[in-house]
Amino acid sequence: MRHNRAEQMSEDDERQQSPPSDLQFTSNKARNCNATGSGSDHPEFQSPYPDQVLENVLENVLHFLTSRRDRNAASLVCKSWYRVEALTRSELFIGNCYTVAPGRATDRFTRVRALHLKGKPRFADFNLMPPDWGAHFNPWVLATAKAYPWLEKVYLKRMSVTDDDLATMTESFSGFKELVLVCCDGFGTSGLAIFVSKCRQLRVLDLIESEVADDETDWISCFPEGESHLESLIFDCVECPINFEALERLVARSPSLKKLRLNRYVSIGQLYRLMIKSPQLTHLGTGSFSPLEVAGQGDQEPDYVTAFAACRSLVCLSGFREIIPDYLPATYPVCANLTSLNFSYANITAEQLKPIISNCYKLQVFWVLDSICDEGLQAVAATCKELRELRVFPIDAREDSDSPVSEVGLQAISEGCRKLQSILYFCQRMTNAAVIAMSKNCPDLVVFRLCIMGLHRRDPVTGEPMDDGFGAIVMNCKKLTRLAVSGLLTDKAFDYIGKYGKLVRTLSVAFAGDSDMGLKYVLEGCPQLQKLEIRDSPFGDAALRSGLHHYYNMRFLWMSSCRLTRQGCQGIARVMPRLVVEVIRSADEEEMEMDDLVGTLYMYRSLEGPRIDAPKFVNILR
Amino acid sequence: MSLDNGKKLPENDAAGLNFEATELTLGLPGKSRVTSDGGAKLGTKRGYLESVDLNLGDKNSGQSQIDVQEAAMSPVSKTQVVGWPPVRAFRKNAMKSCKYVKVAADGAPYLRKVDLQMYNSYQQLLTSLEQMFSCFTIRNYLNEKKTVDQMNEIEYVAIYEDKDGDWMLVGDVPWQMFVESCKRLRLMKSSEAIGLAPRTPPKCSSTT
Repeated sequence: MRHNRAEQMSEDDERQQSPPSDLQFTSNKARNCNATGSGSDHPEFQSPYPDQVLENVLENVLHFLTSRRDRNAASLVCKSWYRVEALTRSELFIGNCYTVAPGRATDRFTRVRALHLKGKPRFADFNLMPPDWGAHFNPWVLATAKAYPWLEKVYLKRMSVTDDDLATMTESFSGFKELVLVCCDGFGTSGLAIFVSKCRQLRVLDLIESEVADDETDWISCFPEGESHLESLIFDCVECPINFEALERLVARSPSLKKLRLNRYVSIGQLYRLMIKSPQLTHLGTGSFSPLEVAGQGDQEPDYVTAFAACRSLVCLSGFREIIPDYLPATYPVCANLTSLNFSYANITAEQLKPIISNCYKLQVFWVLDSICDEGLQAVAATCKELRELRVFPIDAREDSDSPVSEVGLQAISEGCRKLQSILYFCQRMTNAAVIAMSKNCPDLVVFRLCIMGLHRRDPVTGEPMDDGFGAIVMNCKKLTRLAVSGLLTDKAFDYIGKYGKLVRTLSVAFAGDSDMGLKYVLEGCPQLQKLEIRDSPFGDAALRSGLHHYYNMRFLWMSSCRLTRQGCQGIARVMPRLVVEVIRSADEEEMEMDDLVGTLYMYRSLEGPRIDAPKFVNILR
Repeated sequence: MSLDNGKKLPENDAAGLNFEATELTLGLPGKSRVTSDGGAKLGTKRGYLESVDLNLGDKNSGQSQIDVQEAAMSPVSKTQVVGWPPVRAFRKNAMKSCKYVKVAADGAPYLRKVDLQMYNSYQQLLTSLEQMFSCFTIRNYLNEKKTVDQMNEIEYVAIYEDKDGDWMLVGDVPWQMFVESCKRLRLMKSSEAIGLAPRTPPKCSSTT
């Protein structure tokens, strides 16, 4: 009966009913929620199960709680709150898939509708981890298939998903609606074909920066006939040709489609045909933005400008994978409405950018290549006063390449885009002065990631290390939660971070620091640190020990090519039973001795102990 | 001791075994590990500088093992560090071909597009263009004819539109500069190329 009542309450909640107004809810009651007969003061609560009434009220209230941090806090109040919170949590987020076993999660949370899982650590993206390390979706799909047949949404990042997993999803979740795979791998077009053909309620299929194997299956044709519910179809990372006619028919029968991001196998002529069928789009990824090889010299090209002009709701534009800049002017009609523009695959110059960007005065998110040079960034700074996020990627991503962006561009952005919250900037040349200027001009910065590609680069003007620049960032940007450092950095930079970076949750360090003190400053000074990834820096066992008080509060620690010994890592494992201490060696390395330096340490808290799916090259220390 | 104020680190210099390269270290004898793509993964496992700290109050002594090993082993070529800079493989691969320009040939019924980054020299580009427009002969910048079809010998001159909108003869500037500034290519009939006089062939081999 209690279960039924609870279920009723949750349905009530869906209709947004408020709790009965005659109920009085004092904090005493909350604390005594396990006591019996606590309702004697209030005659209107004479019910055999006063705690149950309380819990029902609580359930009603907790449904409104969406933030997972708030939910975690609520679940710690008392056992009743823990229980009720577990019943009302509909979105389950697990930031490290190995911290908890799928069964444990499904036992606690019984009414989950959306699952959000993250697997490998970020440095795996840069070939610092051998393939087949883990983060398999399979055990999760099996557990949730049993526990949540009503599951509607799955969001995975850096997980290995197989075609079989996709098939299992279609068999187990009849009302499945949204699949988002970010930086995932392990599946191919045949898996997609099965998935799209069987998930008839599918609204969202977003494949973002994932590796999709080309099994030469025409998955686009496998969407069921008849009107589709598709709202979002993102497949720009799929590196295989698609059946365009099938795609065209699919778009034509998807009236709710708002987001469409095409891969580079879609030509601009094909893009045109899709756009005229879907002027309601809000997000468009243009595919190659280039014509097919064969085009008559005198032939009439489609009126691309009109197609863009018809998309009055377009706010987010990306793609341009093989851009021929002659076609850029076609986008003029939508520039004034754009809030997000991704040119990060478009090799365009400042001159080609200017006519576009000068109209993008509402732009909030801008991703671009350094081909636009400092001059292009100056143009951005002149117009994009609402800019919140900027990412400048290198065309030539090598340590010793030439990069045409520098401190000049950064300075310009800092002066023009005062509302900036997030920046990722690759360059070869940067001064402390420009970084300090940004720290003062952009006080709202939450994410500051500067990648000076040359190793150990000093300030080219003063000859100093880059300590003061990053120091100013942590000192002046009081909201900063994510920081990535580069250039020549001494322990002083880390001293600053430890002293002032009190809100920093994610820190990325490469080729920096002088001694153990650097890491100690950070581990002792940053209470909010969750994710720490370090490579090629001279931090050793003593520094590692200085974080013992904090490791249970972190999602993970990654240290590769540092100065840790196996003995040192073993020491940590011994005193921290709930920490999984993985030593990862590259494929050709031999099994190591105790005082050998560790290649990669990857360490994370877990309720489950050593994982059973660890490959041979992973040694879990105990 | 003077500092390298932002100049390229000495190991890029062919002669450049610098002071730090001769420092004593605890590293194992210079072993490098080759990654699957042929790049050398240097010093990322064992051995680090600074145990014998020749620090003269100068932060420059804190160079990474990678730099030293490289200087010791291959003073001319600089091999890349694995996973640096931190750009995802997908993006790196996408950047490999991203300089497409249209090619129009006078009298041809169709345009083509070429990716200039696929080539390393004018020679390669012109050879490729010939294959695309196989019935034409293209006079290359060295004023040598490269005839494919002897029967229909129509000579063409390759010109390009640069960033400033000017039409230039292909071959005037160094290759990389050309790649950066070329917006489109045109194969113009030699007979129309008045005013674009053939250049005196420079004294260099034809294989650039």
